[in-house]
Amino acid sequence: MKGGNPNPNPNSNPKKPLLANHFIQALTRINLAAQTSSTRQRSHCIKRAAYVSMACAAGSRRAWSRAMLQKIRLRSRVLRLPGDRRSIVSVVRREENRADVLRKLLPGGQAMEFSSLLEETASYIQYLSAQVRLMQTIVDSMFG
Amino acid sequence: MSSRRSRSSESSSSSRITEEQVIDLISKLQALLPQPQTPSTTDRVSSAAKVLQETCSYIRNLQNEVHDLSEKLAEFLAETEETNSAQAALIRTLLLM
Repeated sequence: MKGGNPNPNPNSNPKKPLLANHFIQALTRINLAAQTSSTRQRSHCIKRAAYVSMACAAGSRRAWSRAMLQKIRLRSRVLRLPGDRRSIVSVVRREENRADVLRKLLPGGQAMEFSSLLEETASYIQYLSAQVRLMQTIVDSMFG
Repeated sequence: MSSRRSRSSESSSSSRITEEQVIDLISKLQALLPQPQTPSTTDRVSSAAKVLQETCSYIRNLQNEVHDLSEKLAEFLAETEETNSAQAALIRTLLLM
């Protein structure tokens, strides 16, 4: 496993070993149960494991990962808080309205202030793209 | 400007962030998005609305990829005679990380 990465690039993956560890352990468990489950069930479990490993790698530091872990554990939707709509139109306000779609996409997004939403989104994208790269690497090594 | 007020430690939800802060956060977000093939100086300064829109598409794309890759992995793990090679592939990937 790669050691500490001195690369200051925010797109580098110091979190990748954490991500890989959890996800691959989950895949191993799912693999062992392969004979008794349907492909569709497995696909669902794998997808769930993907998001859990992302959230575990991010830990409790991030609102999106906390919201995701809560959602997965409770298997229910995160509670929505009342929106914060006002009538004054400014540049900031316009972007907040456009951010409504983003709030729905981001775990825990409904409850966030706009500035937090943007920061959380950046974090979520980093982990999500790392997870996709990890899964692609695994698929490539299996079909290679 | 009264908009500076938001930088103080007001705990109420009515504290507004400044436009500069919004622009700064938006540009950080933009840096994470897949870059266009032919970046030009004018292209780099996308409107905040465009960045938010592209961010939403990007997130949806990534989530769809997770879904598709989950299906691929599920199919591969289905082959019972492949169980050992699947295990080997998983271990190999882990060692390569």
